[in-house]
Amino acid sequence: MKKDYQTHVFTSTYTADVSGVCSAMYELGGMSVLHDPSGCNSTYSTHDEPRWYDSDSLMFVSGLDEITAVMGDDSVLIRDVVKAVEDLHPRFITLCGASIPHIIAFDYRGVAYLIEKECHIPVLPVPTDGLKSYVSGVDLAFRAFVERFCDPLEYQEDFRDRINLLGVTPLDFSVNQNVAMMRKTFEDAGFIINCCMAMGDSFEQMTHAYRAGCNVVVSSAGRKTARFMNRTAGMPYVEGLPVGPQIASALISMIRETIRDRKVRRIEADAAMDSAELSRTGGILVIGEEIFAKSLTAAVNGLPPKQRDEAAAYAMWPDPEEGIAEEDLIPAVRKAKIVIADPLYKVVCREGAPERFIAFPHEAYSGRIFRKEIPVFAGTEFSAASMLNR
Amino acid sequence: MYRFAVYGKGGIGKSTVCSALSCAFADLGKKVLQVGCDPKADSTLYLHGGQRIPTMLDILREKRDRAVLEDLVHTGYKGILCAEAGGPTPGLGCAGRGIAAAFEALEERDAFDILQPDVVLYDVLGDVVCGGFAMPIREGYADQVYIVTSGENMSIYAAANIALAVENFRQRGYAHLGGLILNRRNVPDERKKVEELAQELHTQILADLPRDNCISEAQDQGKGVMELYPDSPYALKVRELTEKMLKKD
Repeated sequence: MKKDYQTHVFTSTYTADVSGVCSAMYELGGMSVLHDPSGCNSTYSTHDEPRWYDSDSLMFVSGLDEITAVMGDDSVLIRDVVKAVEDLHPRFITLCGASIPHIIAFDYRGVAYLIEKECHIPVLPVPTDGLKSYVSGVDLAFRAFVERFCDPLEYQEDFRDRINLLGVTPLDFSVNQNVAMMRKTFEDAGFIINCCMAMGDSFEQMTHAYRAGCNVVVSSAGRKTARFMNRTAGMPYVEGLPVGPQIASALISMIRETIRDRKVRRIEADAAMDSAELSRTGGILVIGEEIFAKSLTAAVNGLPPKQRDEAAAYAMWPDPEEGIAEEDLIPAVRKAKIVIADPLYKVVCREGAPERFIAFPHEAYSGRIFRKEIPVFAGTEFSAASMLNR
Repeated sequence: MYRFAVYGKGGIGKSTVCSALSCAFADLGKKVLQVGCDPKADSTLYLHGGQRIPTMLDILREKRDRAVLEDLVHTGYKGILCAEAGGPTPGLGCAGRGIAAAFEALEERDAFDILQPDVVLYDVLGDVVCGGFAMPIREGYADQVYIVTSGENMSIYAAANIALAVENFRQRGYAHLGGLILNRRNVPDERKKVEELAQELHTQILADLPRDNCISEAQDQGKGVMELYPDSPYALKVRELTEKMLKKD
């Protein structure tokens, strides 16, 4: 039977691509313009942006109205942006949008060109559609940034110890100690963080993104950017997140090998059971962003069997376009002995299945609701065994 | 790569001109991709013996992101690569958004890098009524726009409107008007009327295509005019036009 991807009865949706763009650009000194009738901006500032009340950033919504949309009157947006630029002097502009501009085939590239001609500052068109998840938006924004501001450089021996962390936003790492611990993990291993895209580093640091030996894609929201840099300058990448000492160690070895042989590598979930065995014994289901879920799954599977209830872990992650289909999710949860996921997934648990639900809040799924309970999972101090014993 | 968009009023003969141009370019040894941008999806009909090819939007509806480039692009007469955007059920959905979605699908699949055509021809529905139908002019898809017109008033009005859209998009750094293609309907003072239009638009008539019964005779047999009547007056004029288009680029 054909799957119905449009029905979400129990489950929520992930943060949309437009918020992903704003989140990616938040700290870089630009002005982000969300082309939309208004609504996406308050969702972003209220639910998706934990830095909103603590640090300033130029985020605007265009306030697109019906007649302007129907008439395709781009001059309204252009005039407003030009005025805002005169008042606020941003370094650059990012132009993204939600579903109505998408439906009327709004010309992002052309309007960006016209604004740039008037304002004489770079304008990055990021044609989001408000229909995909933040993973898509963050990645499009980072790729647009790299394409516009970073000069591709071939690998040089001086870059040997330098790495970039790609896909870093509060949507996956929140604003607790995750980013600091992740940086520390790599720095303790002898690496220099060339740029952390994009939390804690400046515009200038970001423009030097090609001066590194390897990209470390710590969230799938950095994957397209890594592929782009690989294509334009041959920079290799490793996909993985250092969740606990074992995975951190494996990841660091992979990075060293990759810098040496320029081959792409990734941490795999490494499920220890086949599907028949899984159906019989139940397993540990990890739900979350793809690279996080695979890395945490690998961390659990790396534990001695006794510490993981003799069960193997397996990962499930949302597709950036379709999310997680409930018809796949419900049987997976029923089959699992333990589920590790954002607390909003608890609604899927029924009739005593699974035996245990371990809450692991994710900013891009439940926003601010469980923000204080988001654990520090990045770095060597995280323990998968302690998490299972919680 | 040469990238041309062909616009004009509905029923003026754009698809016939486009298919003939594709054949003439192919005869010059060029690898050609013809993209039909009309929900009717009949641009490449006579490059496939009168048989319709599956439209990109139908394939995308069925296969979603599992659709591969081979599902979207089909090889026709003389090895010409053919794609039809297609569109929604008449009266429903949004045809303009459909065109945009079909273009995005080609882009996502790196169609131009993989197929590496020498010439791309976009055959676009009548009038630039919304953003979607302007896609071939925008974002680097086409470099030159050609407008097919006869001397009939409605055709001239449509041509003027299209030229206005092209001029508007030119300010955004996009395609420019390559010229007019007069496709004769044998109305009084036809050449004179189209010349006046060309003057107003600061452009020129690049071809004066005769009304030729060969076209409908060939189509009755499910073929294009270039296939059955390659030496007809119409075919010869089209060949002259291809040379001019290549030089103009």
